[in-house]
Amino acid sequence: MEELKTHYDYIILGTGIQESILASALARNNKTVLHIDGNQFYGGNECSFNFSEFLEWIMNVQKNDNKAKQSTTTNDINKFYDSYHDIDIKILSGYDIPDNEPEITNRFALQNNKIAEEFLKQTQTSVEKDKLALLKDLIKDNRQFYISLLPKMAYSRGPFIDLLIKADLGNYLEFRSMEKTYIYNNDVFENVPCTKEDVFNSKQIKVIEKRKLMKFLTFVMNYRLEKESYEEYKDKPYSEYIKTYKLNPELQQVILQAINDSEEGLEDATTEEGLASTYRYLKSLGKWGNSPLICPLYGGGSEISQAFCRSCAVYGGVYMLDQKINSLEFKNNQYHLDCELKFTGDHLISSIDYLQDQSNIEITDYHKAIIITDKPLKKNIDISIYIIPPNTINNNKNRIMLIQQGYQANCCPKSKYIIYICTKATDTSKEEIKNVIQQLFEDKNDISEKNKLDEMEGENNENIKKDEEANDNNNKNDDDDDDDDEEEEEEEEEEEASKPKAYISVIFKQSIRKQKSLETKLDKTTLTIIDDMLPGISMETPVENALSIFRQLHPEIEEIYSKPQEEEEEKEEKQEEGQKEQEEQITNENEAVEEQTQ
Amino acid sequence: MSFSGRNDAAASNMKPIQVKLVLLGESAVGKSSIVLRFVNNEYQDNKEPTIGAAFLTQRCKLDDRIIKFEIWDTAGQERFHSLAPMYYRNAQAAVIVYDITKPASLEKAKTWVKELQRQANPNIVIALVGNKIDLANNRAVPYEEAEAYANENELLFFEASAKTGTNIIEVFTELAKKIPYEQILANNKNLNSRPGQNENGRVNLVDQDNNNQENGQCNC
Repeated sequence: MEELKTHYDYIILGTGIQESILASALARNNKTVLHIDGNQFYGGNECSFNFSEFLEWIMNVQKNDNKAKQSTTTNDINKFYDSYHDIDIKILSGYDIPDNEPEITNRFALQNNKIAEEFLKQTQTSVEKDKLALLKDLIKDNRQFYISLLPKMAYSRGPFIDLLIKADLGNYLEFRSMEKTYIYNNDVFENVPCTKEDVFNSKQIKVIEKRKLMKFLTFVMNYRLEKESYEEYKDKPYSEYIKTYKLNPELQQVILQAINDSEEGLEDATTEEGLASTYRYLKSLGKWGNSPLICPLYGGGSEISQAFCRSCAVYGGVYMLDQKINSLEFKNNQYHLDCELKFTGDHLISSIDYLQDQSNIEITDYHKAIIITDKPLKKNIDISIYIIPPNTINNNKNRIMLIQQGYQANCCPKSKYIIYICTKATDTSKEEIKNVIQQLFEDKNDISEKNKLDEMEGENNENIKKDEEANDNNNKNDDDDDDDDEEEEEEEEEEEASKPKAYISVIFKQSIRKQKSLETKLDKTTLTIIDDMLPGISMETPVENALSIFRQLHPEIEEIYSKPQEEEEEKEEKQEEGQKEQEEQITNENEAVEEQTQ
Repeated sequence: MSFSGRNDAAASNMKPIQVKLVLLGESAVGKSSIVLRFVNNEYQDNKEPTIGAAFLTQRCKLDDRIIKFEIWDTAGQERFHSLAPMYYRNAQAAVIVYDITKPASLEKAKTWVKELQRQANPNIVIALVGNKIDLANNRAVPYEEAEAYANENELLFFEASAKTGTNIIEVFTELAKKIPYEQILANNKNLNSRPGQNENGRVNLVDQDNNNQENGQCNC
């Protein structure tokens, strides 16, 4: 085995998206990179888990939280688990227990069932049979789940996509368009109109409003050329500026809450910030389908990390996961790292997870939930976003965002869906998330109702019809523009009839950490600390952040991914040439084998 | 028996079936050399550890099908057991390489077999390849021992030499024969069709930017 280098230009700790982008960029520019993660998996806080790993993660968070309460300190430098707290687990009750369980011989399946049992023992007061049966059913499809701790999507036009194409990572990553965005209004999720088509087809918007909305959207597309028209509002709240377009309150909410990628909506944004955010959203429309966002398949963040890490490895980067870091010191102008082996490095790039002195850190908490369900929130819609503005469910104070991903996102087995909920943590946020879950999901499997359904199917259908009629009457007021969408209407009402079941719902608090001041970031020119990524929907900010760090480290490099690509093209050409010849050989070979067998 | 013109014409009109093949095995057993011999029919002594090639592609004709192997090298990430789940995902074939002069490398190969059983698609076709038979004088792993292990675990088995080219094409030809194409085609038709067709909102970055024919991801 060839000798492993012990000294590197860069030691990088953590395999989050930003660290991985940097690793790839550095290796592509001939810097030697040692990339280390304390966890067994790629992605740091952007990781994703299959079902059994998810259960183990929950158990570890709980254990770590208890340890922290007893204030026992660990000597491990990796603080991954320290940013997750107060985890609450609820499992659907009344799940059908199969009469006779098939015997399982596969050792992986046996192992997984053991994890399910262990999970119930640790997190529930007792191991109930229905819950165990449910978990065993879910864990059967263990590897089809990609449950993400920080689900992200990407704008179809923006720095992230540009970077992927430049870095030639299109072959590693697959995407699907986000289908629809909804906003909660009058106890239902309404489709958010953003393209011209949407606006024209919308039956919720009156004709006059349509014109006003189009005027606004058209303006935003060119807002940078028309500075004078918003100059006096520039530093005033965006919400005030929007009022000048005389849109109705619902549409104002749509603009402030839904057509943007910010963590908390644009309620508190200035006009300049708001316009920039709306513009970013609108700019991405129409490139791939009707949606500005594309969703990375197989769990998102972790995939993106893996792609960049592989591209770093292809250019010589050395990878070590699952490393316990015993010590990390700076002496004689070098970083000395002691993990499975001992290394030195000229520079250190470290995720905030590995920062030893955590005193200079600013923490913003978010309350989040991960729910696995049997049905989508909207019929026949898979990858989608749901915004709950303030004051719409039990007087919620916070804006709450939901992301749904299912089979189409390759995150779940067929007919399962993952719903992620996120809101900024306040005194009431946890309660508000609980209310949202209660409002939108069923927490028990009502067997009696199911039996009833079987018995009196005909009657039941009639009931649904009655409901529909009642609802139609309610909706009449909005209906005066179009009337050819009745089918859709019916579908919506059916959904009302039964909510998705929350098989498992997990609520937790996540700390997003950031260094307090810029000066500390630059106190040593050889040390770069990477802040946590914010839980907003899109990928643009972290990508821009990583690229700007790279430019600070290497201002002399203009094009990060320029040269290597040419080389690859050459290779490709060479390959094509050799190919024909080879094909011949193989055909001949085939013939030979066939002859033999005859 | 030779391939008739009819077959050739039919084959050239067909879209190739893309097969992802992953390489596994201890460092320095000759994984990359085997691929380079297969793809470019070349060999370099004292090759530097793999740098700069994300993956190589090679087409083969098998009966009336064109198969396009997309061959993923470990890029050294196997060294500290840090291969990403992405590496194994949707791989339909694997070549696990050991060095016939190093018994430890066969033991390592066995752990990769286990890893594939844990991480990879259950229908993956695996070939175990004992490389470096040009160094048969220093043989330290008996043919029978490795063969017995391969049979037990239903793996294809070859001894080969990337240096001389012995048995290299056979490895890939035999793998190509065992791959369950009907299943791949059915899957492709279903949800997991390769990008490029854009149905169901699937997005292909590669096609968007470079529309010139063959570009890694083919249109099958």
